[in-house]
Order: sequence, then C-alpha cells, then structure tokens
Amino acid sequence: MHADFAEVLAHEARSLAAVTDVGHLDGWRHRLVAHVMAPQSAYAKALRSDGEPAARAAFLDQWHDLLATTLVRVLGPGPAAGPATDVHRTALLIVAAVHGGAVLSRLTQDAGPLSASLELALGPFLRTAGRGPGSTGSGGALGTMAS
Amino acid sequence: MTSAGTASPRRLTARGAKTRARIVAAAADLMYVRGVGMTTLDDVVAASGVSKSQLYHHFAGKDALVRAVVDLTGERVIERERDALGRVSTMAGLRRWRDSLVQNNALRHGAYGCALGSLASDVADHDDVARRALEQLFAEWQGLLADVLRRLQGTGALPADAPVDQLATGLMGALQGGYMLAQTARDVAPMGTSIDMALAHIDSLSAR
Repeated sequence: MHADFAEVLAHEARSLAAVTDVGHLDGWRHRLVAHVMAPQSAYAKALRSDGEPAARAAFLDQWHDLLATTLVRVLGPGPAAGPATDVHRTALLIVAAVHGGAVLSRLTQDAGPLSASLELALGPFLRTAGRGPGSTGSGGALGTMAS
Repeated sequence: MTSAGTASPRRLTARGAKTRARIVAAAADLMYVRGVGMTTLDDVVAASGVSKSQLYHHFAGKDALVRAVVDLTGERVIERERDALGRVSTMAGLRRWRDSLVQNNALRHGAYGCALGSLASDVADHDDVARRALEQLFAEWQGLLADVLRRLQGTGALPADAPVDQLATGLMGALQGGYMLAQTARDVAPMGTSIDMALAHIDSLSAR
C-alpha cells in the first residue's frame, strides 16, 4: 500500500481507538483538520495522491471501517434510530467530507471549508449521540451550528 | 463569471477565435479523462487537429492552456448549475438536483469525477492563477446552493438562523467527496449516499 495511506491508517487506528464519547470525537475532528491542513503531512499527501485505484479503494474502506467501529462505540447500547445514527452511512459521509473539504480548503488556503464539511457530516451524529445514555453530553461546538 | 485571465488575450479574427476554441475544447476533454498531468501539448495538437505553431500562437505554454480550460469548464459547470438550481426552493427540488448529478455521473460509472473538482485537485498546488480562478468558481457554485437554502428559509423549511453559507460549503464538500468515492469505486452508489446524508442533515435542521 502507498506509504502515506499506511501512515494515515496507522495514526487513525490509534487516534480513533481512544475515542469513547462525543467529546473525544469532537476533539478527533479538530485534530484531523490540523493534520490535513499541514501541507507536508501524510494526511495531506494521501488526500492529494491519485494512487493505484486498488490501494486507494482499500485505504478508503479501512478508514471507513475504523470510523464506523468508533461511531458504534460512541453511540453505546440502547435504541438510536434515524439517519444521524446510521453509523455506516455517517462514516461514508465523513470520508467523503474529508476528501471534498480538503480540495475546497486547498483552493481557499483556509481550513474553513474542511471544517464546514466535517461539521455537516458529523454534527447531527454528535448531537444525537450526545443526548444518549452513557454519553458525556458534550457536543463541542457542533450543537451551536444552527443556533 | 470569473476568469483565469485568458478569456480575451487579444483581439482575434473569427477564424482565430474558432481555432482557439477548438484547442481549448480538445484540451478540456483530454484533461477531464486523463487528468492535467497526463495530458501533453502534443496530445492536444493531435486531438484538436491544429498545428503546433497554431497552438503556440494562442498559448505560451501548458499553464496558459490549463487556465483557458479552467475558464471553459467553469463556464460550462456554472451555467449548468445555474439552470439546475436557479429556481429550486424545496428540499424535493434539491433532491432532484442530486438525482441529476448522480445519474449523469452513472453514465460513465463515476469514472472521471467532477470536471471542476478534478481540475482543482490537479492544479491547486501548482498554479496560483488557476487556483484563484477555481476558488472563485467554487464560490459562485456554493453561492447558488446558499441561495437555494435562503429560499428554503423564506418558506420556513429551514430555520431563519441556519448558517446557510456554512451548510452550502458542507454540501459542496459532500458532493466533491462523493465524486471521489464514485471515481475510486467505479460506482456512483457512495456518491449518492454522501449527498443523501448531507441533505438529510440539512433537512433535519427544520425539526430542531
């Protein structure tokens, strides 16, 4: 696999393993923006790289699975229905938002578009999960998006 | 409409303008399919049927040609999006816009991505003039989406305090990322899911 893909996945596996509640997930989101906006980081290089299609597909699949596993853990037990808590579709939107937001942020040379993309992808999940049992109740800045 | 600075470099005869347009159209097609990096000026000469001296008469080099491609692609995309979004004032209308983009991309199994987004990926780090032109084009496209969201606010379908510019940027991120997922998978299903989720999240603001 492309070295930058492998480095990002290794880093994400460590970072996401430590995420157990919405506050941690919110913190992960902000750290991710910083990594992507550092031009020489493995994140920036991996997102810019065309790569071999098979390697890119494996990279995206593995990142998606890490995210989905994390979202299940953050959601915890108990009923949670609705689009915001569909962990697989939310994980897919997060992967898309990171890539699409990164392209827009490279154009504007500003983290704003990447942050806005991740906000739309993750905000509803954090607001919903933040209301669930076993949560710390912290939705970070996300709960203020529409207020 | 913004320009990468190549729209009217000098007064051209009708024949000269036609030749220039043929070169740019051929270059745009090649760069869309192969990417900017994999398209040579020799490829463009062969595809457009002009001579190399004619190409150099109109363009000093590849950067100048790429900037003209940015202008042409931007004009096409913004015109298409203005037609598609200009009168949308409901979530159902936004979903029809989504369906149209996904269906059009399905014709090619998602193989080539968004024409404007692909150019952004290819040139953003290499040519500041092209980057700024693309930044303006995306701002214009996001402005069209923000206008739709404002019309939704006007009808009460979105709360008056919803951050429409931020939501429009987020929706564009989901769209561009969706194109990339489709390109990688050679399947538009993940693109459809990405935009569906983004639209569902925007729609959910009305229930807050």
